[in-house]
Amino acid sequence: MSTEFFTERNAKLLGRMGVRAALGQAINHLAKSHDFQVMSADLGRSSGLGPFINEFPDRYIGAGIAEQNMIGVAAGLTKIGLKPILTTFAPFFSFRSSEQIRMNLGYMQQPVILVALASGVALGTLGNSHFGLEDVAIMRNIPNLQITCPTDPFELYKVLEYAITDDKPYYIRLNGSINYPIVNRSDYNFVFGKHILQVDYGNDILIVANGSQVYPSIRNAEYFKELGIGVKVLNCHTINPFDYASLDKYIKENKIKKVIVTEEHSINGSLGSILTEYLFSNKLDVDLEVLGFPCSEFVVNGSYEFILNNYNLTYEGIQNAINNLIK
Amino acid sequence: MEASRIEIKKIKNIMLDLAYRSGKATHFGGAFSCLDFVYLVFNEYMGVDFKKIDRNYFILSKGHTVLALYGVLNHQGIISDEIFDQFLRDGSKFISHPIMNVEIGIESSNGSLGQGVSMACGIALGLKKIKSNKKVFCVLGDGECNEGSVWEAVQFATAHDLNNLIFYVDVNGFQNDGTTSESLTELPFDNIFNAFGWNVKTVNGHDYEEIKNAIENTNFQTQKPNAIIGKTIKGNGISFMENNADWHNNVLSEKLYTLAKLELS
Repeated sequence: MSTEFFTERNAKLLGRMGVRAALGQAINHLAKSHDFQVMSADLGRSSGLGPFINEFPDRYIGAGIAEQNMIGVAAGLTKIGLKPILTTFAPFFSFRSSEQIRMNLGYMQQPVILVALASGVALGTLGNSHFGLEDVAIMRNIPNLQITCPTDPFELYKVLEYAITDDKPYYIRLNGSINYPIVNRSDYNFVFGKHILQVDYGNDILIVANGSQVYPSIRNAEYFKELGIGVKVLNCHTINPFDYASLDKYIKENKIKKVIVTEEHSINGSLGSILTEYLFSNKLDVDLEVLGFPCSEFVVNGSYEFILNNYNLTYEGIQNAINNLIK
Repeated sequence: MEASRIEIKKIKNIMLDLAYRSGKATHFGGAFSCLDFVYLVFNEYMGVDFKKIDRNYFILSKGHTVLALYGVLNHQGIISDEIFDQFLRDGSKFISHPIMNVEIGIESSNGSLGQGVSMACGIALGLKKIKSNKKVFCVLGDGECNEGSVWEAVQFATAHDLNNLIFYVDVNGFQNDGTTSESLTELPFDNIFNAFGWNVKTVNGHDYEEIKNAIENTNFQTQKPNAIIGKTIKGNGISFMENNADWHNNVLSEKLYTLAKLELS
């Protein structure tokens, strides 16, 4: 079943159509072989779920614009052995409903799957009210919650499939908009909780990235390879539980001295903080550059591309960071 | 009627003993106001096998009144007498708010008000999805209804025809800071639930038969969810606790414990 999903043609198609179409197609595809319910807080069709709602109307539950209640309802459904997948925009989960998530998914460990749309700044001109700048920082502090940020349509499928078959609660944050970057063009081995070394061109610099930042990081590794500078790119798709063994392997064992973190998130509370804490507690003498949003102010207004560019979360921005580190 | 009164007195004795032996502050007022309903649900509808999925469910959304649930579950033989040595002790699973422990009838962890109602809606919807005709009972407080998420749940239940759902609003007229009107406002629950499209029945929340009739006469054939509005007395049955906001959460002295036990004898 899954093999027909993982074609190069589909990768390109979903990349062009964007992250929400990728989510919709993944859910629709998985629905044929897995038993789950889907809920949304008045963002069903906006989540790319139109085809699912049309094909499986009995498995779609509209919650209205009431995210807090949606979390509790989903937890109640799990008591009857049902598996709910929920969608809304990242801040409406991570801020508005954080206490419901803490009680139902954290404290009671009910196996609800949250898919946070437009986490980061994908909603562009909708503005800061709709951005997920700090969602990982909040969700990471809730015990028992698995947190992931897949990098492309195929990884999104892999994460969803794993979460559906697992018995734990999940927070899946989605970066990206239309023209979702494609890192994977065919089926590949994905292990939840194990980071992926996407490219390995040497030990000069390690880039730690996830979500939207993996693709521009890989392109930079290829660019600097031509210049004789060896860059590794580590895709940290799973943020909780965090794969510290991958850091031991690719920083300690390879004696890496320069690390760049790039993530479509606040520099506080997610990969930036994780790497800072890791390097300090392991007493590693490493130059660290963290690319992300400042937590001292809300981000600038503008298109998705404009905002990413403003905070160096782009191919050029990462390139500048590398150039500064190797100066 | 008389039989249930005797059993409820027994449970009140259990509750007083639990609280007194702990030596700690306990939420008496709301526990004594909702006790009659909690006892009735477990006595008439719950059984003792909580492992199976296709059964009736009970959610204590006003989780701070868990003393009533502990009292009922101990009285029914579901929670053993070990609770007398554990209630509110360091490291205990029996604290001032319910911690989910399905096997002994504690369906959910509560304490944050306005949340149990949503889980109750989810369970009710889930039961309908598996074509079960079982019911979900959920106790919420009048003070708890200050929380906006309660009304999200109420709308959801209307929209999804959750006619297997029974909300019991324990209207004792008090919350932490005093009367409901002192704290925020006193709500016309019958009109409100009617307006949301629910079946509504107002009862004397200390009259076993009246509550039971309200449940039994609920017209589950309609698509409407059901609200029973229980007019109750905070601290019911203990003279110095009745309608006294000081006993929302308080410590029983030896003197008052003896007095309370005397009133229940």
